[in-house]
Amino acid sequence: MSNNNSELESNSDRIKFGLIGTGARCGGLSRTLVKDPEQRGDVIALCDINQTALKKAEGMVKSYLKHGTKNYTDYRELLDNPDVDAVIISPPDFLHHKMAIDAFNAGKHVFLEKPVGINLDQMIDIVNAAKNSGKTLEVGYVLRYAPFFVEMKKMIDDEEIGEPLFCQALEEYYGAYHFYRGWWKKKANTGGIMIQKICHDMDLHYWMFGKPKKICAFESLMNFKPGGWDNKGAVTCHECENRCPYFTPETGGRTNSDECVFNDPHDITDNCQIIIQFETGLNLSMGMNFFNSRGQSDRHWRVVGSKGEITGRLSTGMIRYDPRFDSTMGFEKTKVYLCNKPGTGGHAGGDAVQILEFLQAIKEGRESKAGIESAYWSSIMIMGAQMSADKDKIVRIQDLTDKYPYPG
Amino acid sequence: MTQFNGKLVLDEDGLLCVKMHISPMNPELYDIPLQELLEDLINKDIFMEVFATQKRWEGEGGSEE
Repeated sequence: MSNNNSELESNSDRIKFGLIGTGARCGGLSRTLVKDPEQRGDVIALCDINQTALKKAEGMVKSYLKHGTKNYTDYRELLDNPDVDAVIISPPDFLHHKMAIDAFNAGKHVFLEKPVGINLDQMIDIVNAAKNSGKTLEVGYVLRYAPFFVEMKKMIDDEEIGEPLFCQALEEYYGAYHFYRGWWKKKANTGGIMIQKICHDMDLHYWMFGKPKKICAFESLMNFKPGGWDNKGAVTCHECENRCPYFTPETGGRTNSDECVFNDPHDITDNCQIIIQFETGLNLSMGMNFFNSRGQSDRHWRVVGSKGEITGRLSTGMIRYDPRFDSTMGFEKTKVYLCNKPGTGGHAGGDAVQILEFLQAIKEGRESKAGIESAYWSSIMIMGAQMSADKDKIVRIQDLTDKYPYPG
Repeated sequence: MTQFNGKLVLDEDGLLCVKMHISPMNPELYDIPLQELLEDLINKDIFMEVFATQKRWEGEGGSEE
């Protein structure tokens, strides 16, 4: 059903967007879109079954772009709108595949929030659909645009640390407790925590170190289970007599649920370790846990090269460079770089940049930075990790690329 | 733990200050005396590590290389 709200006037020179899903993630992306100083985009259509979220998005469009939107509850009707050039797809993960395929088939450019899909068949389907459509795909790998990682990549490419030889990456995410509520708590809806979260990191690893060769992974449930907190038998926060730091009001917050994260049945894990060997020989370990201390909630990276190493935490926007050899022998001294200009926005600055790259890629008729290549390799890598964890074996990447070749 | 960054400057009275943002929402820079930044640590054993930082963007803000 479409609903024409007020008079609809829009700038015909701009790329016209439809937003499929108008929740929190879409809000961040679309705010950048509507505030673009070059005014390359316009939002003319919204789709969501959550009318509260949709009305909020409608208000934002009206406030910044000074016009109304066509509103839908069925995304297929939005895709049928010939005036829509591009869509931002940000519904729950298990809906990404169908919506993205339909969007490409409808001839739209697609900004698809991560993960690409919840299994490898879905992911490769989307990659192939993007290739065959000739339209622009951008996956929501926003960290590619965070100044911290942009500068790290530049330092590696400029050989400031020499040849990269070794990497350790760690994600600690204090806010992950919401994964144990609502639709997130079932692996059938998300693919699991590695697909949900480490898809970002797999994309970064490929971007920085090239093609992988082998991968192995382990995951387990250590804390978000009965006994992780003494909830005295409560199944929801509002009835709990021993509130934990993950307490959520009955209104539910992000997940519209106050299910006890320690007690309610779920089938996902809360920590993992992944090891990747790249074709260059570089070995990388990537760890993630959700029961970390709040003060350490961050992405922590270390890349060691033949001339020195760089370390840092994403949230600080600082990268420390230490030379390999002692400065008393005439080598360089330690340097500390600031990567984040004051006023850096969400996702360590990535939010303010990514959607603009998508706009520019559409205008220039080229692949976007987190486009087909990024979607393909991050999918191969994260699913290789998931398969390794599921089957208790080392996965050869070539076995996956032989079965799912890169779209020609 | 106390953590801050900005430009180390001398104010009109010759006091060491850090020219810094006092809140992410406030774009203004203020000269905050080191005494004020560290006063909660007086009479405590501390570990301090200070680096001259180099900004990796063009334009305003941060220290010059």
